[in-house]
This record gives sequence, structure tokens and C-alpha cells, in this order.
Amino acid sequence: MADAVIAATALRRVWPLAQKQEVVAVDLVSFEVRAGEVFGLLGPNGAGKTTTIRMLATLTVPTSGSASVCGHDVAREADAVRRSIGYVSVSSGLPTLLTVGETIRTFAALQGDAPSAAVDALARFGLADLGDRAVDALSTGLRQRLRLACATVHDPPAWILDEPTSGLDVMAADELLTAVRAARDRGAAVLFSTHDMGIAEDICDRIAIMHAGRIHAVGTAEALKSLAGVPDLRRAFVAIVRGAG
Amino acid sequence: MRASARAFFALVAMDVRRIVRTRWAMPLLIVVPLFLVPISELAAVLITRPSAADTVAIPMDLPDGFPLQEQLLAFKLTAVPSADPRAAVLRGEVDAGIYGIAGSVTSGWTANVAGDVDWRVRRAVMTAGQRALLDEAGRRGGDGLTTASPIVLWPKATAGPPEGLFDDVPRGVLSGWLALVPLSVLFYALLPLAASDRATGLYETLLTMPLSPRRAVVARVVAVMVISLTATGLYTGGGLTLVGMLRASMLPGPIDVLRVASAQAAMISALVWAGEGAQTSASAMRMGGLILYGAMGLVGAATAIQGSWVPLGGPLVANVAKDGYGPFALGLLSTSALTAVFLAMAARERGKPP
Repeated sequence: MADAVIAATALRRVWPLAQKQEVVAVDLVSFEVRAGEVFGLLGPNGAGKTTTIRMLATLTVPTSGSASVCGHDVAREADAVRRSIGYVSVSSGLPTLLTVGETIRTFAALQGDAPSAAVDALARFGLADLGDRAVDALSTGLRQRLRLACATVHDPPAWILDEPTSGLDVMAADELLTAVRAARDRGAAVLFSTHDMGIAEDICDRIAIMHAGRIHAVGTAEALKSLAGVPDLRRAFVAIVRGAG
Repeated sequence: MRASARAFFALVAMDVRRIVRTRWAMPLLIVVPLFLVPISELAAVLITRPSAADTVAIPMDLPDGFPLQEQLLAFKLTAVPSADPRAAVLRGEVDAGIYGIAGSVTSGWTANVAGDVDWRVRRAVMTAGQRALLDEAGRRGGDGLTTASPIVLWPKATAGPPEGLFDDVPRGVLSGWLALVPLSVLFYALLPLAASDRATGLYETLLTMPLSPRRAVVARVVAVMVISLTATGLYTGGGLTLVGMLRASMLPGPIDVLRVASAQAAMISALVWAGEGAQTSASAMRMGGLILYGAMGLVGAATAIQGSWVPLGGPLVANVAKDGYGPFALGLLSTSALTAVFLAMAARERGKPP
């Protein structure tokens, strides 16, 4: 489609194991995320969500298949892809011993942006008054907002978020989701992985349910519930995964 | 290109900030060695301080029949007018760091460890004939023939040290301390930072930036080298300054105002560093201390290099030049090896399973 910002086509990743065995982490996964859309990836642990996301973030090279962000191939045009994405995962880190302002300015420079971009990013995430605060002194919620602010300081067209609300309380998660909605409203394509069905139903325009490396269903929350014949997304998820399994 | 250069220097600046703020790094790397130098110097003074009898003062107008000039030549000695021994040192008439003042305690070997080593060497190569001449001159001076224009005799450094003489001498002590600075920075700051960055996922974050892992690693190495060389420069300048204050307090004559002022600046800066080392806020104060300390270090180093402190700076600079290359090369090699390690670590990040 013309407005697909993130696109995966028959994406596959195989990890070698000992004694010439291998495990297929992602198997022929295809989907696309359009501009102004939040696309959710749901799946049990080990479903292949993170491997899929890491391939899109250029952290893992696909074994086969292809993926692109803003038309740039993740394998062949990794630098262009990195300029187009804002990536946050549960394992994303921030430099210690810096202040919030120093941190965001560093990331703005890494993206080739002017210092004013750092100011804008802090304002977008409600961190404008915390510029002099030490990063190490931030709460978990504020630190996650700062991670997101750093990753998206260049206001990229594609946001790739791997369980960004993990470990956050309800209020902190809600503040982060507000920022994600604002990005969607500005036209960003958001790929959003989560285990929280409530959050998925709340923020995702479409949802893909993954299990054992494959996507087994894609659609809106309502469509998935209808597909499984159950009234809520959690039961729909369980039914689809069990059906696939 | 401009943007990538900015990104590179942003990473360097980030790591410099973090290394500087690492708890205890700066006190350990700068303040402690800074005070160890004068302490070791003081120890050398206390241990090797000579008695007044070691100083030989004789009158210039010796009675006829005493072949002083011939004896000086024959025994490779030099006569230094006591009126201005420092000038004699500056003119190169006697070796830097070793001079004395007639009738006072000879303090040449308080210059620094290098001076002390030189003095021990000089004593060791003094021949029996030279000792006899000194004894004779001292005896005659002691007879009170005249005290109008006393001179000091010192053995001239034309005789080379005998083979193996340095075996029991702590050579390169000072440059050894200097080498500890960059090496300590590596061990105290770089490695814990690297481990922390790996654990907290900063590497992964950086790998999703439009910046090659190689460049990120090189930026870190550059940051470490900046800190190491700055610390070494500050330490050298600060050490020179404090030793200068020590010498100024022990030597007769007017006290060099610049020297004392620099020493005070060094002490104030060191206190600022010590006070700020364990804190993570008040970065302006910390930077103020760094600037003050850096300015002092530059003044000290520049003055020493310029030569106005030749008795003080000359042997130190020469000693660093002579013995310091090895340890510095070791530091550079260590940094290079770490570069390779971090490159490998960064490259592995990209291919590992989640």
C-alpha cells in the first residue's frame, strides 16, 4: 500500500542451536503499519514479537524475507532506517550520570538534529521542567518517558515500541500512551508490542496475534473478538493462540 | 559529514561527562596522586637531608701553593659562586637540581625524586681523590683564611655512572606515578562504565542510532584519552606547583609569588575536587573547579617547560621524557586493546538473539 510506513514481507529468522539444530523464531511474517496507525503485536512469551521488532529496528538481520521502513530496506539501508525510526524496548538503556537535558541533547546530536529538537522533545513528553534533574534520580515512569523522548527526539515517521509500558504503573503508562497517541495524530506509524490486553485494546488500531513465530490473526480488536466469538480481547487472544497451537 | 562529526563529539562529550562524574574517579585519579608527590618528596628530604658537614665552602682567594684550578680540572670538579647558585644552574654550569649555598643546608636533592637519584649517582662516582680535595678545601675554609667570597664545590657530571649503579635506585618513580593516571582512568572509569552500559542496554540504544558501532567505540576511547591526558597534565602541573611550594618554603631567598599563588590555586582546586567528587549535582561548581585546576596546571607546566623552574621542572620533565614513554605506551596499548574488545562487543550486540 502506498501509505505503509513499516512493511514486513515473509520475514524469517532462524537461530542456530548446538549440535547443528536450529530454532525458527520468526516464520514468514508479513504485515504493514500505515501512517497515523498504531499496530499492536500480541503474543505469548517466545512468540517471536521481539525478534520481529529487532529485525525492523536493524538490531537483527533477517534470515530471509524483507522488511522496510519508509521504503528503506532494513538489511541494505540500515542507516536510513535508523534515521526513520524511534525504537524503545524493555532493554533500552540511558546513559548514567547525566542530567535529563544533557541526555536529550546528546541524542538530538546523535540524530543530527539541532538542540532545539531536544527542547521540543522534552516538551512533548512533559519533561521540560526536569532538564537539570539527574537521570539516575528519575522515577521508573519518568525514565521510560525520557527513553521514549530520546528515541523519538527527531520526531520520526516510524515508532517501534517493544513493551514500552512494561513495569509502569497505571498513571505512568497512561502518560506514555498519551504521547503515543499524539504521535499517531501527527501521522506517525507506531508498531506497539505489549502483553497488556487492556492497553492493546485501548491504543491499537489493528492488532496481530503471534504464536510460535507466525501471525495467526490480524484485525481490529472488535474483529478479533468477533473472530474468536468471545466478548473481550483477552479471551480472543487465548482462543486464537490455543487454536494455533 | 558535519552532522556525523557532531554526533561523534556528542558521544565523546557524553562519556567525558560520565567519567568525570564517576564516583571517586577524580579524587582517586588526581587529588590523591597530587598529594602523594609532595609526600614522597618530603620523605626523600627527610631521609636524605644532609648534615651541614656535607656542604663544602671554601674561599676563592686560597693561599699560594694550593693548586685549586688544576685540582678542579684534574678531579672534574666545578666551582660555583655561592652568590647566585640558581643562576649557575640556569646557565648550565652545574647540573639542574643540584646546587648548594655555602654555609647552608644543601637542598639540591629536595628538587624531586629525579634530583635525588642524580645526587646519589654523583656521590657514588666521586673518587677518593675528589673526596680528598673536598676535605682539604673544607679544612682550609674552616681555618678561616677568608670568607669574603665563598664558593661551593660540586663534582662535575663528566664521569658516567658505573655499570649497574642504577640497579638499586628507584628509577622512574615519578613517571611511574604519571603512568598510573591514564591506566587508573581506564580501570576505574572505562571498564565499570562499559559493564554498566552493557547491563543497562545503552549499547542497544546506541545501535539504533544512525551511528556505526565502530564510531561509538572510538568516541569512547577518545573520551578516555581526553580524560587521561588531561588528568596527567593536571597532575604534572599540580605536582610541580605543590613541589614548588615545598621547595620555596625550604630554600632561602625570596619566595616566588607566582609559585605560591599557583600552589594555593592547586590546593583550593584539589579541595573543590575532593568536595565535589562524591556528588552528582552542582555541575557548575565542578566545572569551575576543573577550569581553575586546569588553569593552574597549565601555568605550572608552562612555567616548568619555559625553564624558569629549571631546578624544579628540568629533572622532572627530563625524567618523564626518559622513563615515561614506556608506561605511556603501555597505556596507549591498553586503550587500543580495549578498543578491539568493545568493537567486538558492539558487533555482537547486533547479531545476538533477544
